[in-house]
Amino acid sequence: MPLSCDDRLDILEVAARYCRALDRGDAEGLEAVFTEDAVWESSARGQRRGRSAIVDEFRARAEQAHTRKHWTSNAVIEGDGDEASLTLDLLVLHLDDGDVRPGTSGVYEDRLRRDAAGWRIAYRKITVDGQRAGFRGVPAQPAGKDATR
Amino acid sequence: MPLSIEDQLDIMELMARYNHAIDSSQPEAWADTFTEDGVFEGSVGTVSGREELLAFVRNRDQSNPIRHWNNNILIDGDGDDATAKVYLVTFDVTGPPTVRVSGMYHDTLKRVDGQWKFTHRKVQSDAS
Repeated sequence: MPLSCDDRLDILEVAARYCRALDRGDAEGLEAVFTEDAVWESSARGQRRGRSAIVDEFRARAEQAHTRKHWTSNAVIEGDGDEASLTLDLLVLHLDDGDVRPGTSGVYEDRLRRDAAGWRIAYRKITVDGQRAGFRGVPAQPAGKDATR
Repeated sequence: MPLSIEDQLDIMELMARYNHAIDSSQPEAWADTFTEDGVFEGSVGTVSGREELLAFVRNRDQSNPIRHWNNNILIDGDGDDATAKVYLVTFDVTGPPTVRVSGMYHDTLKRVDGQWKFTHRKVQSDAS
């Protein structure tokens, strides 16, 4: 069954909750957006397997909270039934002593799963621009999918 | 008939696909976001029709990786026709992101065979 408008909006909100949890140093909020078996993989920081390992990674750099603002744009969602993929551009603003500057940019490539708890991230891959592998390779549209989804 | 929520989400996603396509230099995926006779009025000139749209991406300066960003998307429409106004920022992401262009898109769109496409997309740069 194709994704409904509710599904698409829910998935966008999961992505927003992730950003908000990071920027507020909110470990519980972060926990809520991942499935228990989630995998998080960053071109800058390597791979973390399992929700608790992912949350530990962010607890370890809690001092960054409130000095970063994660922005996202250009969401493309594909999916069917209880499985979805999301491609999303990322921009991190660095807030230091009243100064704001764009610090990092990149792309999130996610897989999400729906269960009784709703849509959550099962896999998130972060490719930071400048660590160039993958930058040119972001698919505009996975092969064989309806162009409007 | 007023646009449905699904129409609005589809149009927002079309804008996202446009950005992904141009930033990863995929001429066909970018041209696919326009109708066959679609027109792009950019800061460096106007291209119209699929062949010119394809050539625009093929001939584009790709020396620096760029990301296009949109925000504040306003969509109006009825039936199979729509217009949109969208904030635009592009970043050079060779290193820490720096702003290249700030401006707005003025769009007209049409639904063709069930899919929303741009018939006309005009860039208004804040610098000009």
